[in-house]
Amino acid sequence: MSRECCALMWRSNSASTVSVCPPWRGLVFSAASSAAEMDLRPSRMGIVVDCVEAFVREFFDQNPLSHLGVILLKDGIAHQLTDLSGSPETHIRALRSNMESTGDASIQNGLDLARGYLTQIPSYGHREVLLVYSALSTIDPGDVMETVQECKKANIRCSVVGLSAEIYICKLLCEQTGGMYSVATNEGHLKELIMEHAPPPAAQAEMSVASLVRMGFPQRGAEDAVALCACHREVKMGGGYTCPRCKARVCELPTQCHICGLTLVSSPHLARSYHHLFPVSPFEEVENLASANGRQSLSKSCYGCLQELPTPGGKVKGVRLECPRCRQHFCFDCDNYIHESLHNCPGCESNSVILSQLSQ
Amino acid sequence: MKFKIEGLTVYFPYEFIYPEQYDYMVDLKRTLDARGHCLLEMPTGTGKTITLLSLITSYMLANPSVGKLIYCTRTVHEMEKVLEELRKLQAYQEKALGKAAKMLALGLSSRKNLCIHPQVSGEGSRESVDAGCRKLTASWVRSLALDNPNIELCPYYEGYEKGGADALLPSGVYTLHDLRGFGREKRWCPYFLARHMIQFANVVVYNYQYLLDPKVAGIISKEMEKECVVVFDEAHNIDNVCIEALSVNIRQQTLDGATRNLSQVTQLIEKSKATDANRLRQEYSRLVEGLAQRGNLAGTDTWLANPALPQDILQEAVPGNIRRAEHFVAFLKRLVQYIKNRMITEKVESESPVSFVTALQNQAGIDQKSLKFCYDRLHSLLLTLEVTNTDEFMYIQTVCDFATLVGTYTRGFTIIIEPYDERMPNIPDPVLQLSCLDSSLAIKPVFEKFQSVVITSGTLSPIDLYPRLLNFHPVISNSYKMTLTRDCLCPMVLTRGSDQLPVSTKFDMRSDPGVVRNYGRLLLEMVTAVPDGIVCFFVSYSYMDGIVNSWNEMGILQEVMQHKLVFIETQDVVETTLALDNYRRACDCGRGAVFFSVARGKVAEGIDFDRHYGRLVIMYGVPFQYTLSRILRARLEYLRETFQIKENDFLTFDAVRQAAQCVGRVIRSKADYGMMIFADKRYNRHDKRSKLPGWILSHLREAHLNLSTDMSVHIAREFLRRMAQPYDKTGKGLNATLLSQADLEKMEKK
Repeated sequence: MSRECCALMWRSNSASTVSVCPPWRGLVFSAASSAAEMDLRPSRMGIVVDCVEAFVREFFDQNPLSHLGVILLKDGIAHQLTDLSGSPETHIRALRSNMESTGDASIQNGLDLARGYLTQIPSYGHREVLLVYSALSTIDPGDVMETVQECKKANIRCSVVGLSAEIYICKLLCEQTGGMYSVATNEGHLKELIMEHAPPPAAQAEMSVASLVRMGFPQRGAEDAVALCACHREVKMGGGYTCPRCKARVCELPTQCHICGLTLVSSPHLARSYHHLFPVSPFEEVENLASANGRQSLSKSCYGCLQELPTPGGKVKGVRLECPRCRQHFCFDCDNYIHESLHNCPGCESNSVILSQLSQ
Repeated sequence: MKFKIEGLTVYFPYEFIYPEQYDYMVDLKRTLDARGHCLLEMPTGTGKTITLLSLITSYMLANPSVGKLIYCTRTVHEMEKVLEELRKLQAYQEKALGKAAKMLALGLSSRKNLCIHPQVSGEGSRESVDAGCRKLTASWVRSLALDNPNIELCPYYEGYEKGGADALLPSGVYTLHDLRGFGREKRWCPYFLARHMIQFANVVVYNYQYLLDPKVAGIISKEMEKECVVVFDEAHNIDNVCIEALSVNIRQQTLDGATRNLSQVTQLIEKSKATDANRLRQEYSRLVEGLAQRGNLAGTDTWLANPALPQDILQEAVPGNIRRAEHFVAFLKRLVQYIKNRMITEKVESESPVSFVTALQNQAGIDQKSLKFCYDRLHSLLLTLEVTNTDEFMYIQTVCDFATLVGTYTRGFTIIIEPYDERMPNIPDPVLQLSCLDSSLAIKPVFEKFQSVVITSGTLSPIDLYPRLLNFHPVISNSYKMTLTRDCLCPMVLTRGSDQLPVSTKFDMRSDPGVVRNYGRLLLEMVTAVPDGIVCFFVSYSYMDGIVNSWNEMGILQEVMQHKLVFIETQDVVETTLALDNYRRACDCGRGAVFFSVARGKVAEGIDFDRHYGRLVIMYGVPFQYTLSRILRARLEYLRETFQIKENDFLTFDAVRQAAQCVGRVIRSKADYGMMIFADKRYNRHDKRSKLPGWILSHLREAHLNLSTDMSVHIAREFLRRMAQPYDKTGKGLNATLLSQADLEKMEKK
């Protein structure tokens, strides 16, 4: 595979301010007494916590720039387990220590709490709530319909994964806010459904208002350097990253600098987030090689890897694919790599006209 | 879309058609071809209304000899729905055919629903609106107003009268709302306009009563031509409607009111003697010549026609002893007094009309022939006396109703006098019931008069019993199944509680605490497994009261309320409406709710629990009629003797159709889903189960019979999970539920 295209990608992101739309999510899940039911083994609560843990890990893998907070519904109250933050370990730790389930669940309280946090974040981010709901009813202090409308107004996309049956209010919530509603039939299906929510949704037009975010791309420190770590407040040896603005040392990325508050990321993180939001459009197969021949001379080699491509009379067999935007031709392997891993078309990236269109 | 059925071009306003709709059309078309009657059962939610309308109007377009389509519904709400569908159809037909497809369709209802006079329409009851209207529009009031401009008239009726022959509705589809709007715009009375336009309309939508109740049918539907096609929709209770149309109840207050009325009438007679004796004399001579109100009456002067069926009304002169007004009043006084005396009784009495009339002859000197003429004679008298406030004379009308019926019919009726209500034996509340036993009486003129009568509903099973009850021969009787893309119906028969003890509402078991507890546990388990709304039907109010009390004492109700709110239907309509409203809100907001209701109640008949308003319906027990009721006993006996229907067969049929009606509330469309639990061990027996409608039976699998509570909860959980999964709405291949025009053409070729 050509390394150039990857390098290209890094280069394009190396500016310190980039406009991106990272999703911010509030994860709400109910632990009312119904979660103690035994129809999923070992118990609903156990299964849900396992799935949510896996989800949290997957989420940060897929959306390194995003933040997540966990809210637990029990005894009719929405308990905030963790603040919105970007560190998976804190969420999982909080989850594991809150496994008992009692009382009723209230969707309204949960949504109100989540909305309170999500509306504070800047408008360039996606706001999403994923509700893992095991109860069959919601016991609310007020009118839950109003809360649904508030969520809609605040552009919060609410999705629900139910554990036992379709509940009208959840369906309504999802329909109104543009989320997904699904109900799990068994343990495996539940995990699948929760995981479906990990990849970020494609950017929505009205949401992607171009706004600039200041970011730092810290350098990794030398292995033998000794520095005062800002996150653990103690002297640490080796590794770590140095904030480009205040020179403080942090242990892991992505995070916010504990001293100056700058968002610290590494460029692969950024690239991954960015390209999930604007997926590369699928390549079209050039079927009729002869007719394509008349338009322009067929390129002999793949634009990505420079391997030979099939031509009308040539020896090489296989498919030839064309990027609908830059009209460059690629081989099957490169197509796969570009869409699955790279999320970036080298042809478009090297074409300055398209690039300027994209960045608008 | 447009397609052909055996040569008939059918215009259908939608892109796709369900297979059962197509089958329904084929059968309907054959019926119309054969000029016979038919009996068709098709589940609700499969678009019965549009199928009927679409085929019959298309048939009318192809065969101009067919007269009107008379579509009878049970409620005003249903009437409006039918007209809305028809509007869609009409728009489509006009697009496809142009001007040729023009038609006039309108709904007709009582003055209460059509009046636009600002004061009169504000009146509360139907009778007071009728009376208010007469006060402003009666012919003598109008002729008085010619001389005296101070007399108030209805501006809308005057406008309509002034319009004369030009006061016509342009073609189109008119709901009641449209009629009122049109009336306001033109300043014409919508009620009289609609009644006038019926004779020109192609489609008329109105209530059952307008055809079945001879009192109303005599005025409204007399003019309908023989070639009409009559449709009775939601007709599963048609036998009861027929019986009610010919039954009269007289209570103590009716008689008191009648006495009051008679003294009023006496005063009026005195007054009119003093002022205008000529009028009474004219009436007398008219009565000598022939019957009371034959002649040209202004449209506004008619009110209710004779309660007896048209062919049974004598076309003779009124007997001499009641010709004079004073004599007639004395006659009525004797009659009222006699009935009053009869009602002072300690025990329940039941006798046939013949013995009643004989006793009347012996003790009060009232003969049968005069009885027959009572109603017409009273009517004529009230007209002569120029009475407008007819609502006040309701009581004496009821008594005359009774007299005419009892004088006319010797068979098929029974008279039952009960001194008190069975439930409260200490409070005297005497009631005299003239009860019609034969449902075929009232509907017979309809079958005889009209060329095709279509009886259809979602629940008509067992379909072979209706022709016997109504005494007619359908050319086609058929029950259609519902084609579904997924198994969205889940009927279950629960016979045992979790402890394996049988449950039933059988008389000797119903108060057993074990059964009560098992029923309670069932509900408790279900509220934890089913989201949103659950509806429970009980066999009677008293049983519901009892069992809810016991659940309360056992603490079951409190546990249920932790999961869902509980609402109860009561006999008070306002209270029930409020409960229903709150039930819906609780379902909407996700709190979840349970509604306790009674089979045969208002809710079971008219309220839909579709979508999340009813994910589960539990039918507690088999809703048999109260078998100790005298009227039912008499009817059963009559059915056995006349139609050879066994008592048990009829009781089971009636109970199961009520149960089917209750559980059928839960599913109203194909996209919907719901579960039905028949909680009684007797449902497991084949004779009960087999009487359920085909579309429920076809989903009742062997594995869902004879269940215990825990098994049914397991099935419920599985079902709900399955239904929550996304599915393909159209259905492809073998279980295609939608047919396109191309599919139909293929079928036609075969």
